[in-house]
Amino acid sequence: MSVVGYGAAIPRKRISLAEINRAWGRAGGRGERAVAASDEDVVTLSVTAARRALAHAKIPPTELGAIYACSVSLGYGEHTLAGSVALALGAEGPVTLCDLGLSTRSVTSAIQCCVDAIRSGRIVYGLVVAGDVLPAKPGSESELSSGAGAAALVLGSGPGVAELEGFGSHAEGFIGRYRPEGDFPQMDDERFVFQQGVAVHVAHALRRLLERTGLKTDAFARAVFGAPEPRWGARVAPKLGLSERVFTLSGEIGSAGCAMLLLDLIGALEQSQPNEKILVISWGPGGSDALALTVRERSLSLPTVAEQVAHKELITYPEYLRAMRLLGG
Amino acid sequence: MAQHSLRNKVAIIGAGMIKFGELFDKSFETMIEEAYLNALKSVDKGLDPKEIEAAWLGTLYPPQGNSGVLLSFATGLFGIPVTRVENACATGSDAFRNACFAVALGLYDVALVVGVEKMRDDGGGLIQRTAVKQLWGGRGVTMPAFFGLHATAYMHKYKISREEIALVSVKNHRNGALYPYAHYRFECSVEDVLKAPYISYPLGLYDCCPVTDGAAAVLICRAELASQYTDKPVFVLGSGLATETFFRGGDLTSFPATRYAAQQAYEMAGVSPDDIDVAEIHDCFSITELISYEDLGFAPPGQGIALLKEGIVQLEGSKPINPSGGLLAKGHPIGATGVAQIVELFEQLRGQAGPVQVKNNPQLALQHNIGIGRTATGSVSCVHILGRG
Amino acid sequence: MHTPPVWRIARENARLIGYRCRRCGFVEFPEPRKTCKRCRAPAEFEEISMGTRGKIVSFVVQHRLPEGFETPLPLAVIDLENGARVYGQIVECKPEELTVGLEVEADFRVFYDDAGLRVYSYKFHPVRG
Ligand SMILES: [Zn+2]
Repeated sequence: MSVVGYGAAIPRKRISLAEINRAWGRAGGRGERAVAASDEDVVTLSVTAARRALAHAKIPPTELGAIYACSVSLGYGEHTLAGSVALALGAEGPVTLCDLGLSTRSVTSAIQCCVDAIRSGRIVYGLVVAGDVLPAKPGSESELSSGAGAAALVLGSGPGVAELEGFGSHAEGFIGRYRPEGDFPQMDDERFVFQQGVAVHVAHALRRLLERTGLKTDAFARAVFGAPEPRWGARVAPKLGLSERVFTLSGEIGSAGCAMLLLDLIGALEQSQPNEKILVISWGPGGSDALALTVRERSLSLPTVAEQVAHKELITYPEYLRAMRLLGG
Repeated sequence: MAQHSLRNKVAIIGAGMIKFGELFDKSFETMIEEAYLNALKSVDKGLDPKEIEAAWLGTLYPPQGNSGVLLSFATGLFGIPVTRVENACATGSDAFRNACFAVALGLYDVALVVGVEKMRDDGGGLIQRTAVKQLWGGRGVTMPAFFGLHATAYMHKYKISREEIALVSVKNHRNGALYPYAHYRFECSVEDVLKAPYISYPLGLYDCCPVTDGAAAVLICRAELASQYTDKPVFVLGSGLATETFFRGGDLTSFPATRYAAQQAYEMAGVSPDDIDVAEIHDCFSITELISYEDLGFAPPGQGIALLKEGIVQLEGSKPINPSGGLLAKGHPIGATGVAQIVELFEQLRGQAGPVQVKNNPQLALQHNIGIGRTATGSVSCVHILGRG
Repeated sequence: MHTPPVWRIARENARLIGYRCRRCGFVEFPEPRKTCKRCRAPAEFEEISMGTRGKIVSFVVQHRLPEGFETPLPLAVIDLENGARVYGQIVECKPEELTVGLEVEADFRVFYDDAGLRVYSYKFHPVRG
């Protein structure tokens, strides 16, 4: 079971955390976050990432048997991200469409569903795409971390860029972070959510992955960690013995919701050599999934995330408000 | 090939218009009525409205439905055929053209043509009508943008500056300051044009015609009946109309529709561009007039600017163009524009143009419109050649 | 993708599919035709990919537009690599960077909101590095 192609789409606009802090009379702030232009959204970014993934996989769209699309910020209660991607790719017809969301964990659920469909022989290739443009209340803490972006993987049973070694999951009816429809994200006490939710769930999922694959944590050259709050990755890593190996773009682009895990994975793949292993862990309301990948071939999907991160236009806070449609109109 | 021609079959015997402007105090029908009465008044030997056997109404945005009956309501002319014509900025001239067909054929002895537009009642003018819910069909392409695209291409190909194009605006505002019917009656300098805010780069405010209300009317008859009404009729010698789109090709430095329409009109009239003494041509934007010099055959491609620099097209020049101030100064109430150009040329050819009367004793006049349709994806041009009896 | 006019050209719009006249090469887009604008005659067309790259034939920078647009907004006529000519809004480009002949690449974007449903198509950004 392999990743046969991948693609990423990161908006060009960025705002520095210092600029956001300046707007609210606060000092300091390191790093930047990606901002979708007023004409970029979950659909446009996801379509662009999916198209790049398909081009990287070098397979025609008619070979795709299923599309799994994830977002926590599509902006519709009824709609289809998977179908929008299918139209743009030319993958309409006898294709399973699966729209997932609500939790950033859904991206690893999507990978599992896709792998199951391929293993069953029902489909040959499947596409997993995730895109988010995270909304944040102006002046709130999450405004400093809410980024945007999309990424996609083409999975297949043959050889590919990286091989999937196995999964480990932990489910719990724990919510922690949520967003009422049409509103901004809310969180219970952040220390509570991290200590009783994130840290516990992630540890369980990782333990199950290690048990199932027989791997040890020191087998992994890099680890990526997908969660709505990017700082949780850095905080949980020492507890898992992964401190220096966590790779993340969140300092450059903030958190891109469901897409963050895949963007970080693609960034890690770009830096990895054949036979190196990458640990992938998601967290979201409902728990955590962990999966292990072994890099088979160093093959870049263009433009690379490194290029996209570097290719930026810094904007001011008023420009950000306009792009996010936070001024009305 | 066609066997019939309009040449010398139709005479213009009366022509009138109203002062163009922001006519908040005049309704659509009031404007028609005034233009019509002015046209009636201009018939030297008089004309009884009962002699009018058919009428054509050119208008793009009528306030109440899309029927010719609007003209009947404004003039009392019920019980005769009234046809409404709409063809972008060639609306007025195409209404005139269709009236000419019917009169030339002998279906009617006398016909009325009215062009009218109420542009100011709904505020923003045409920019507010820009296509928003369009994907490939001209979304966000305003009128200034359509012509601005030609300006950019023309400036790039022929190394012409905004400063040079501004000479069109300067000339037309100079004429408009003298023309009693013009919306804008002030002069402007090259510097004024360059300093004005951009509307659609490279076009600034003074490169664009204003948003104007207006109406104009002409009375035509079979040529052989003209002497019953006037000793100084003006004859229709040629007429042409064509459509084009730059999606078929071309480098956007010309309006091929004008070339086709002009060729049709010149051929019908049996005259060449050099024979034209005075012209009212479509200067919705400064660049439109400059490119039209070339499309109408007054200058070779890329050399239209010389006509301005050498004074040839000035009011005192050997080929005055837009003595009325053109659309830039007079205004461009779309349906009225073509008809108003014919009104002006009628007066020029009869030596009755007052302060803007050209000095070259004109025998032949040319009228031209170029408009855009299908949400700025296609163009239509209409050309008429008129001559003194 | 819900109003009939948008649905009729959904494939062509989403995937930049055009129809090329087998006689003269003119590319019809987005609706298929059975008559050719350039041949001015009935013609046979073949479905083609119009490609995603093109060159600016001419451009303007819009400063006055109704609600629903952000200004200044660069707008261009673009010749795509496989022969089609289209109107295109230019994104991620400063007005002063625009030139005739500039190479651009298609970029999938939100076009407008129709009763709460966003409608998508392509704008263009300058080809990078
Ligand atoms: Zn053809």
